[in-house]
Amino acid sequence: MLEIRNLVIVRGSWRLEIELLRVRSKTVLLGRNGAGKSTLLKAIMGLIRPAEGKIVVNGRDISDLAVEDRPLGYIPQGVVRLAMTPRDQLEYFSKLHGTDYKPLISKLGLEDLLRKRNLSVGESQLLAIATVLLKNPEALLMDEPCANLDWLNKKLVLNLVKSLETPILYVTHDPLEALLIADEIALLEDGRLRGVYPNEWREKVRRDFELYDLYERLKTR
Amino acid sequence: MVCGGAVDRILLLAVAVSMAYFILLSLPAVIVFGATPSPSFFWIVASTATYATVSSLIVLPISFILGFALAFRASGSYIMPLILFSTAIPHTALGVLLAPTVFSLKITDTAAAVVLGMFVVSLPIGVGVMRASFAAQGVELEEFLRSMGVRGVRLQWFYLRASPTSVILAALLSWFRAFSELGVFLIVAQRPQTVGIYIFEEFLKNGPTAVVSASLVLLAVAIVLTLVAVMLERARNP
Repeated sequence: MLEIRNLVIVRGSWRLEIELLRVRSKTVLLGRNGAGKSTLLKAIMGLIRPAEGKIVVNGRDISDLAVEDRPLGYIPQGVVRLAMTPRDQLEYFSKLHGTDYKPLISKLGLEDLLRKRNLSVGESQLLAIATVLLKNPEALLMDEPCANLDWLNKKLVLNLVKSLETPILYVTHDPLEALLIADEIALLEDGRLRGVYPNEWREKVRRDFELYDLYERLKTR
Repeated sequence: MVCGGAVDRILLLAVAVSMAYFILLSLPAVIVFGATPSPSFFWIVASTATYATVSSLIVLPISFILGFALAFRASGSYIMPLILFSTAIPHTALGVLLAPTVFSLKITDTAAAVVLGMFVVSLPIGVGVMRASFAAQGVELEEFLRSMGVRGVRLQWFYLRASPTSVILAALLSWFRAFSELGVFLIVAQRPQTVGIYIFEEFLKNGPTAVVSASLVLLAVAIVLTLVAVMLERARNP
């Protein structure tokens, strides 16, 4: 479990304050542009130094750990592409973290990526998520991983995220994404957490989601 | 010249325009002064190129490290002007600022002073190109890699892999900047003779006719190098 306790981030006159946020399974941090979602994720990852507060992962205070040493996975906003083939990338990070990428790739159903050299934006995002999982993170931080993806790529990424068992703090401004994947939805407004709500609508939205999938529906008509 | 399977028309156009530009610039000088090649000139070009290569070999790794350090830090915006200032003042003034160091090291009019002068004028170009290249790759790459446990030299290795054309471009531009320097050398290193000093002195001694051919050779080299830079840039951003 990931816990954020009494976190305060100050940027000039702007403040972000989180009294307590617990991420047990899939928590979506929902908020409009400028609410402080990405800033919070960066602070949890250690990329921004907060004025005060603690980050606790499975009972261990990691607030003083360097970014490189935090047991967290981080998908930044925008698609990250490394100048190497997908296979080389997975092999490199497998070696770095002493893991084996083959069972993971097989489990995630991403074997096709290994045969490719140039990936689409959506495939690159899937590869980034698979790469992060090689670290065996105790929690995942995802900053709008579906931003800039078309519908089909978005579906691929969301399905992958849904299948993960690691606790995830998933940032989005899109209520549909939030409803699709969240167990809990934390609403962030103007640097304040307005509340954390159970996602009571998930199953209904997942059923309705197929209704929105015009690509598939029109093809089968 | 092939881009995506078809001949790169923009590059062909650049070559044609460059040739026309070369003729346009060189013809008046050739017609008015004539062009008499000097046998010593090519030796001076070769030695200047050697000094510029030595300077660039020192500039490049420093540019890489500084460019990387300045690309993703807010302080980079404040520090860059301190590095770039030498491009904004007359290079004779830069030579005057460099003179105390050269005099105290007792290297006036030596190859060491030439390389030092070249280093000072070409470092800002190298740092500027590398910094821009790293910044264009976005801070997200750095954040992602650090979150994956990549740090230090490994982190820079990823950026190096992602931007080989930028490294070549930085090397090329800093080399040519070093090669074409004059102002600093007028103050601290008139010997061994470099291309800029040669043209300046020959012009004073024997008039324009003596240096037209030398200038045209330099112009041709500059145009070719610029075209290579354009090709690299297009390879990076097709």
